Amino acid sequence: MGIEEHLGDNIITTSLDKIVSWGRKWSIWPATFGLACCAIEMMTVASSRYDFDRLGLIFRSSPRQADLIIVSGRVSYKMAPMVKRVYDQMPNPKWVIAMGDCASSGGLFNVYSIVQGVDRIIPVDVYIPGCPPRPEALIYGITKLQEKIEKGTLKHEDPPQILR
Amino acid sequence: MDVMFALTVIKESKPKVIVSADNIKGEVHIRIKKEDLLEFALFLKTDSRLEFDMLSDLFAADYPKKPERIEVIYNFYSIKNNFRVFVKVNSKADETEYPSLTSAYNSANWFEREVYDMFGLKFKNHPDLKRILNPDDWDGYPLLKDYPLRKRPEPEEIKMDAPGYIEIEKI
Repeated sequence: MGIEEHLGDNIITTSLDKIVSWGRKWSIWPATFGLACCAIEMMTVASSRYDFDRLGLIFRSSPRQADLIIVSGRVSYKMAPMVKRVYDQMPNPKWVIAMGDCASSGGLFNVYSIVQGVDRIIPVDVYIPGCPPRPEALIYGITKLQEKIEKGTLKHEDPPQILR
Repeated sequence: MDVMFALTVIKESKPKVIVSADNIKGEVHIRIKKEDLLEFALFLKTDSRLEFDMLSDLFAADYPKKPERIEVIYNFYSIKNNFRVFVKVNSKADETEYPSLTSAYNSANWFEREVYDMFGLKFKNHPDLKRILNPDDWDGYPLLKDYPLRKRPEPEEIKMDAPGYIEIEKI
Protein backbone atom coordinates (compact mmCIF):
# COMPACT_ATOMS: atom_id res chain seq x y z
CA MET A 1 0.00 0.00 0.00
CA GLY A 2 2.97 2.31 0.43
CA ILE A 3 3.00 3.37 4.05
CA GLU A 4 4.59 0.18 5.37
CA GLU A 5 7.54 0.58 3.01
CA HIS A 6 8.49 3.86 4.71
CA LEU A 7 7.66 3.04 8.30
CA GLY A 8 8.63 -0.64 8.54
CA ASP A 9 7.12 -2.84 11.25
CA ASN A 10 5.82 -0.67 14.06
CA ILE A 11 2.61 -0.17 15.98
CA ILE A 12 1.01 1.88 13.22
CA THR A 13 1.56 -0.55 10.38
CA THR A 14 0.80 -3.72 12.35
CA SER A 15 -2.44 -2.19 13.62
CA LEU A 16 -3.25 -1.13 10.11
CA ASP A 17 -2.58 -4.71 9.02
CA LYS A 18 -5.28 -5.93 11.37
CA ILE A 19 -7.81 -3.34 10.24
CA VAL A 20 -7.22 -3.93 6.55
CA SER A 21 -7.23 -7.71 6.92
CA TRP A 22 -10.47 -7.44 8.90
CA GLY A 23 -11.94 -5.37 6.10
CA ARG A 24 -10.80 -7.79 3.44
CA LYS A 25 -12.12 -10.72 5.43
CA TRP A 26 -15.67 -9.37 5.52
CA SER A 27 -15.82 -8.13 1.96
CA ILE A 28 -14.72 -11.02 -0.20
CA TRP A 29 -16.27 -10.41 -3.57
CA PRO A 30 -16.34 -13.56 -5.71
CA ALA A 31 -16.42 -13.44 -9.47
CA THR A 32 -19.60 -14.78 -11.03
CA PHE A 33 -18.08 -17.87 -12.56
CA GLY A 34 -19.70 -21.28 -12.72
CA LEU A 35 -18.51 -24.32 -14.61
CA ALA A 36 -20.73 -27.30 -13.81
CA CYS A 37 -23.15 -28.76 -11.28
CA CYS A 38 -21.22 -27.26 -8.33
CA ALA A 39 -22.26 -23.87 -9.69
CA ILE A 40 -25.86 -24.79 -8.90
CA GLU A 41 -24.88 -25.33 -5.26
CA MET A 42 -22.95 -22.06 -5.36
CA MET A 43 -26.07 -20.27 -6.57
CA THR A 44 -28.02 -21.88 -3.74
CA VAL A 45 -25.59 -20.41 -1.23
CA ALA A 46 -26.33 -16.99 -2.66
CA SER A 47 -30.06 -17.51 -2.15
CA SER A 48 -31.97 -16.28 0.88
CA ARG A 49 -31.90 -19.64 2.65
CA TYR A 50 -28.11 -19.68 3.07
CA ASP A 51 -27.43 -16.00 2.33
CA PHE A 52 -23.86 -15.33 1.26
CA ASP A 53 -24.43 -11.61 1.71
CA ARG A 54 -24.33 -11.83 5.50
CA LEU A 55 -20.67 -12.85 5.18
CA GLY A 56 -20.00 -9.89 2.92
CA LEU A 57 -19.81 -12.01 -0.21
CA ILE A 58 -21.43 -10.31 -3.14
CA PHE A 59 -21.08 -11.84 -6.60
CA ARG A 60 -19.47 -9.40 -8.99
CA SER A 61 -20.02 -9.74 -12.70
CA SER A 62 -16.53 -8.59 -13.61
CA PRO A 63 -13.27 -10.26 -12.58
CA ARG A 64 -11.75 -6.80 -12.22
CA GLN A 65 -14.01 -6.14 -9.23
CA ALA A 66 -13.50 -9.55 -7.66
CA ASP A 67 -11.15 -10.87 -4.96
CA LEU A 68 -12.15 -14.50 -5.10
CA ILE A 69 -12.79 -17.02 -7.82
CA ILE A 70 -14.77 -20.12 -6.87
CA VAL A 71 -13.86 -22.79 -9.40
CA SER A 72 -17.13 -24.69 -9.25
CA GLY A 73 -16.86 -27.73 -11.44
CA ARG A 74 -14.56 -29.69 -13.70
CA VAL A 75 -12.13 -27.72 -15.81
CA SER A 76 -11.70 -29.12 -19.30
CA TYR A 77 -8.58 -28.49 -21.34
CA LYS A 78 -10.62 -26.27 -23.61
CA MET A 79 -11.84 -24.21 -20.66
CA ALA A 80 -8.43 -23.95 -18.96
CA PRO A 81 -7.24 -20.84 -20.88
CA MET A 82 -10.48 -19.03 -19.96
CA VAL A 83 -10.13 -19.91 -16.26
CA LYS A 84 -6.56 -18.67 -16.32
CA ARG A 85 -7.61 -15.51 -18.13
CA VAL A 86 -10.33 -14.68 -15.60
CA TYR A 87 -7.85 -15.29 -12.77
CA ASP A 88 -5.20 -13.09 -14.37
CA GLN A 89 -7.65 -10.21 -14.73
CA MET A 90 -8.43 -10.13 -11.02
CA PRO A 91 -6.52 -7.49 -9.03
CA ASN A 92 -4.26 -8.48 -6.14
CA PRO A 93 -4.82 -9.62 -3.46
CA LYS A 94 -6.85 -12.51 -4.86
CA TRP A 95 -7.84 -15.94 -3.66
CA VAL A 96 -9.06 -19.15 -5.23
CA ILE A 97 -11.43 -21.79 -3.89
CA ALA A 98 -11.49 -25.17 -5.62
CA MET A 99 -15.07 -26.27 -5.01
CA GLY A 100 -15.85 -29.96 -5.29
CA ASP A 101 -13.85 -33.05 -6.14
CA CYS A 102 -13.49 -32.26 -9.83
CA ALA A 103 -11.90 -28.87 -9.33
CA SER A 104 -9.70 -30.23 -6.54
CA SER A 105 -8.34 -33.36 -8.17
CA GLY A 106 -10.24 -34.21 -11.33
CA GLY A 107 -12.65 -36.28 -9.28
CA LEU A 108 -14.38 -39.06 -11.16
CA PHE A 109 -13.39 -37.56 -14.53
CA ASN A 110 -10.12 -39.42 -14.87
CA VAL A 111 -10.35 -38.98 -18.64
CA TYR A 112 -8.55 -37.39 -21.55
CA SER A 113 -10.31 -34.03 -21.56
CA ILE A 114 -10.32 -32.89 -17.92
CA VAL A 115 -7.53 -31.05 -16.11
CA GLN A 116 -6.73 -33.16 -13.03
CA GLY A 117 -7.24 -30.40 -10.49
CA VAL A 118 -7.41 -26.69 -11.12
CA ASP A 119 -4.28 -26.23 -8.98
CA ARG A 120 -2.30 -27.26 -12.05
CA ILE A 121 -3.13 -23.98 -13.74
CA ILE A 122 -3.90 -21.48 -10.95
CA PRO A 123 -2.82 -21.47 -7.25
CA VAL A 124 -5.58 -22.64 -4.89
CA ASP A 125 -6.12 -21.50 -1.28
CA VAL A 126 -9.00 -23.67 -0.10
CA TYR A 127 -10.14 -27.08 -1.34
CA ILE A 128 -13.73 -28.12 -0.61
CA PRO A 129 -14.43 -31.86 -1.02
CA GLY A 130 -17.82 -33.20 -1.97
CA CYS A 131 -19.68 -34.11 -5.12
CA PRO A 132 -21.12 -31.54 -5.04
CA PRO A 133 -20.40 -30.02 -1.61
CA ARG A 134 -23.41 -29.02 0.44
CA PRO A 135 -23.96 -25.28 0.78
CA GLU A 136 -22.83 -25.59 4.39
CA ALA A 137 -19.53 -27.03 3.17
CA LEU A 138 -19.00 -24.03 0.90
CA ILE A 139 -19.76 -21.66 3.78
CA TYR A 140 -17.27 -23.59 5.92
CA GLY A 141 -14.70 -23.19 3.14
CA ILE A 142 -15.39 -19.46 3.11
CA THR A 143 -14.81 -19.23 6.85
CA LYS A 144 -11.52 -21.12 6.40
CA LEU A 145 -10.54 -18.60 3.76
CA GLN A 146 -11.49 -15.79 6.12
CA GLU A 147 -9.14 -17.26 8.73
CA LYS A 148 -6.39 -17.21 6.13
CA ILE A 149 -7.13 -13.64 5.07
CA GLU A 150 -7.15 -12.55 8.73
CA LYS A 151 -3.50 -13.54 9.02
CA GLY A 152 -2.60 -11.59 5.91
CA THR A 153 -0.50 -8.48 5.76
CA LEU A 154 -0.35 -5.20 3.93
CA LYS A 155 3.23 -5.73 2.89
CA HIS A 156 4.06 -6.47 -0.65
CA GLU A 157 4.09 -10.19 -1.18
CA ASP A 158 4.96 -12.14 -4.24
CA PRO A 159 1.86 -13.49 -5.93
CA PRO A 160 1.10 -17.11 -5.02
CA GLN A 161 2.70 -19.70 -7.23
CA ILE A 162 1.46 -23.03 -8.49
CA LEU A 163 2.84 -25.94 -6.49
CA ARG A 164 4.40 -28.58 -8.68
CA MET B 1 -49.13 -45.57 -40.19
CA ASP B 2 -46.33 -47.03 -38.21
CA VAL B 3 -42.71 -47.65 -38.86
CA MET B 4 -43.34 -51.08 -40.39
CA PHE B 5 -45.22 -49.33 -43.18
CA ALA B 6 -42.15 -47.14 -43.71
CA LEU B 7 -39.93 -50.20 -43.86
CA THR B 8 -42.21 -51.77 -46.46
CA VAL B 9 -42.11 -48.63 -48.60
CA ILE B 10 -38.32 -48.43 -48.33
CA LYS B 11 -37.90 -52.11 -49.22
CA GLU B 12 -40.18 -51.78 -52.23
CA SER B 13 -38.57 -48.63 -53.53
CA LYS B 14 -34.90 -49.32 -52.87
CA PRO B 15 -34.40 -53.10 -52.86
CA LYS B 16 -30.85 -52.94 -54.19
CA VAL B 17 -29.60 -50.32 -51.75
CA ILE B 18 -30.50 -52.14 -48.55
CA VAL B 19 -27.85 -54.55 -47.30
CA SER B 20 -29.94 -55.68 -44.36
CA ALA B 21 -32.98 -54.50 -42.43
CA ASP B 22 -33.82 -55.51 -38.88
CA ASN B 23 -36.66 -54.78 -36.55
CA ILE B 24 -35.29 -54.67 -33.02
CA LYS B 25 -37.97 -54.08 -30.38
CA GLY B 26 -40.05 -51.96 -32.72
CA GLU B 27 -37.11 -49.93 -34.03
CA VAL B 28 -36.09 -50.29 -37.65
CA HIS B 29 -32.38 -50.56 -38.36
CA ILE B 30 -31.34 -50.40 -42.01
CA ARG B 31 -27.78 -51.06 -43.11
CA ILE B 32 -26.65 -49.54 -46.41
CA LYS B 33 -23.40 -48.84 -48.22
CA LYS B 34 -21.77 -45.46 -47.99
CA GLU B 35 -21.88 -44.93 -51.77
CA ASP B 36 -25.69 -44.95 -51.66
CA LEU B 37 -25.99 -42.79 -48.55
CA LEU B 38 -26.75 -39.36 -50.02
CA GLU B 39 -29.21 -40.69 -52.57
CA PHE B 40 -30.92 -42.81 -49.91
CA ALA B 41 -31.22 -39.86 -47.53
CA LEU B 42 -32.71 -37.69 -50.23
CA PHE B 43 -35.19 -40.46 -50.99
CA LEU B 44 -36.18 -40.64 -47.33
CA LYS B 45 -36.59 -36.90 -47.22
CA THR B 46 -38.54 -36.34 -50.40
CA ASP B 47 -40.73 -39.44 -50.75
CA SER B 48 -44.33 -38.35 -50.18
CA ARG B 49 -45.22 -41.50 -48.19
CA LEU B 50 -42.28 -41.18 -45.82
CA GLU B 51 -41.19 -37.54 -45.44
CA PHE B 52 -38.30 -38.07 -43.07
CA ASP B 53 -37.80 -34.33 -42.81
CA MET B 54 -35.56 -34.30 -39.74
CA LEU B 55 -32.14 -35.76 -39.09
CA SER B 56 -32.50 -35.92 -35.35
CA ASP B 57 -29.15 -37.56 -34.62
CA LEU B 58 -25.96 -38.71 -36.23
CA PHE B 59 -23.23 -40.44 -34.32
CA ALA B 60 -20.63 -43.17 -34.67
CA ALA B 61 -19.14 -46.18 -32.95
CA ASP B 62 -15.73 -47.80 -33.27
CA TYR B 63 -15.31 -51.55 -33.79
CA PRO B 64 -11.52 -51.91 -34.07
CA LYS B 65 -11.56 -55.60 -35.07
CA LYS B 66 -13.70 -55.08 -38.15
CA PRO B 67 -12.03 -54.11 -41.44
CA GLU B 68 -14.40 -51.16 -41.81
CA ARG B 69 -14.16 -50.11 -38.21
CA ILE B 70 -16.25 -46.93 -38.00
CA GLU B 71 -20.01 -47.41 -37.92
CA VAL B 72 -21.95 -44.21 -38.50
CA ILE B 73 -25.55 -44.29 -37.31
CA TYR B 74 -28.13 -41.90 -38.72
CA ASN B 75 -31.41 -41.28 -36.95
CA PHE B 76 -34.07 -39.99 -39.32
CA TYR B 77 -37.38 -38.80 -37.97
CA SER B 78 -40.61 -37.93 -39.73
CA ILE B 79 -42.47 -35.18 -37.92
CA LYS B 80 -45.59 -35.62 -40.04
CA ASN B 81 -45.88 -39.39 -39.66
CA ASN B 82 -44.24 -39.74 -36.21
CA PHE B 83 -41.85 -42.57 -36.94
CA ARG B 84 -38.10 -42.90 -37.08
CA VAL B 85 -35.55 -45.18 -38.71
CA PHE B 86 -31.92 -45.86 -37.93
CA VAL B 87 -29.58 -46.08 -40.89
CA LYS B 88 -26.14 -47.60 -40.36
CA VAL B 89 -23.12 -47.19 -42.59
CA ASN B 90 -19.71 -48.78 -42.17
CA SER B 91 -16.53 -47.03 -43.15
CA LYS B 92 -12.79 -47.15 -42.76
CA ALA B 93 -11.31 -44.61 -40.37
CA ASP B 94 -9.21 -42.94 -43.06
CA GLU B 95 -11.92 -42.97 -45.71
CA THR B 96 -11.48 -40.06 -48.11
CA GLU B 97 -14.73 -40.39 -50.06
CA TYR B 98 -17.17 -40.48 -47.16
CA PRO B 99 -20.26 -38.47 -48.17
CA SER B 100 -21.58 -35.58 -46.13
CA LEU B 101 -25.31 -35.08 -45.59
CA THR B 102 -25.05 -31.32 -45.14
CA SER B 103 -26.52 -30.71 -48.60
CA ALA B 104 -29.70 -32.53 -47.58
CA TYR B 105 -29.99 -31.78 -43.84
CA ASN B 106 -28.61 -28.65 -42.18
CA SER B 107 -28.49 -30.37 -38.80
CA ALA B 108 -25.84 -32.73 -40.18
CA ASN B 109 -23.30 -29.91 -40.06
CA TRP B 110 -22.48 -29.97 -36.36
CA PHE B 111 -23.15 -33.74 -35.98
CA GLU B 112 -20.57 -34.49 -38.64
CA ARG B 113 -18.13 -32.10 -37.03
CA GLU B 114 -18.57 -34.06 -33.80
CA VAL B 115 -17.93 -37.37 -35.56
CA TYR B 116 -14.86 -35.84 -37.20
CA ASP B 117 -13.68 -34.53 -33.83
CA MET B 118 -14.09 -37.82 -32.00
CA PHE B 119 -13.39 -40.40 -34.72
CA GLY B 120 -11.41 -38.56 -37.39
CA LEU B 121 -13.80 -39.40 -40.20
CA LYS B 122 -13.33 -36.77 -42.91
CA PHE B 123 -16.63 -35.92 -44.55
CA LYS B 124 -16.28 -34.94 -48.16
CA ASN B 125 -17.88 -31.62 -49.21
CA HIS B 126 -18.59 -30.58 -45.64
CA PRO B 127 -18.67 -26.74 -45.58
CA ASP B 128 -16.79 -26.24 -42.30
CA LEU B 129 -15.06 -29.40 -41.14
CA LYS B 130 -13.20 -28.53 -37.96
CA ARG B 131 -13.21 -29.70 -34.36
CA ILE B 132 -16.31 -28.83 -32.37
CA LEU B 133 -15.75 -30.15 -28.82
CA ASN B 134 -12.03 -30.55 -28.30
CA PRO B 135 -9.55 -27.68 -28.56
CA ASP B 136 -8.47 -26.87 -32.11
CA ASP B 137 -4.89 -28.03 -31.54
CA TRP B 138 -5.90 -31.37 -29.99
CA ASP B 139 -3.83 -34.39 -30.92
CA GLY B 140 -5.64 -37.56 -31.98
CA TYR B 141 -9.27 -38.67 -31.96
CA PRO B 142 -10.36 -39.53 -28.41
CA LEU B 143 -13.24 -41.95 -29.00
CA LEU B 144 -11.23 -44.36 -31.12
CA LYS B 145 -10.59 -47.54 -29.17
CA ASP B 146 -6.84 -47.35 -29.72
CA TYR B 147 -6.61 -43.83 -28.28
CA PRO B 148 -4.40 -44.24 -25.18
CA LEU B 149 -6.39 -44.43 -21.96
CA ARG B 150 -6.08 -41.30 -19.83
CA LYS B 151 -3.73 -39.66 -22.28
CA ARG B 152 -3.64 -36.02 -21.30
CA PRO B 153 -1.50 -33.04 -22.21
CA GLU B 154 0.75 -31.68 -19.48
CA PRO B 155 -0.57 -28.46 -17.90
CA GLU B 156 2.47 -26.64 -19.29
CA GLU B 157 1.41 -27.62 -22.80
CA ILE B 158 -1.91 -25.74 -22.63
CA LYS B 159 -1.74 -22.68 -24.82
CA MET B 160 -3.06 -20.11 -22.36
CA ASP B 161 -2.94 -17.29 -24.90
CA ALA B 162 -4.85 -19.19 -27.57
CA PRO B 163 -8.40 -19.85 -26.44
CA GLY B 164 -9.22 -21.13 -29.89
CA TYR B 165 -11.78 -18.67 -31.07
CA ILE B 166 -11.91 -17.52 -34.64
CA GLU B 167 -12.98 -14.13 -35.97
CA ILE B 168 -16.60 -14.53 -36.99
CA GLU B 169 -16.04 -12.79 -40.33
CA LYS B 170 -13.49 -15.40 -41.31
CA ILE B 171 -15.91 -18.35 -41.07
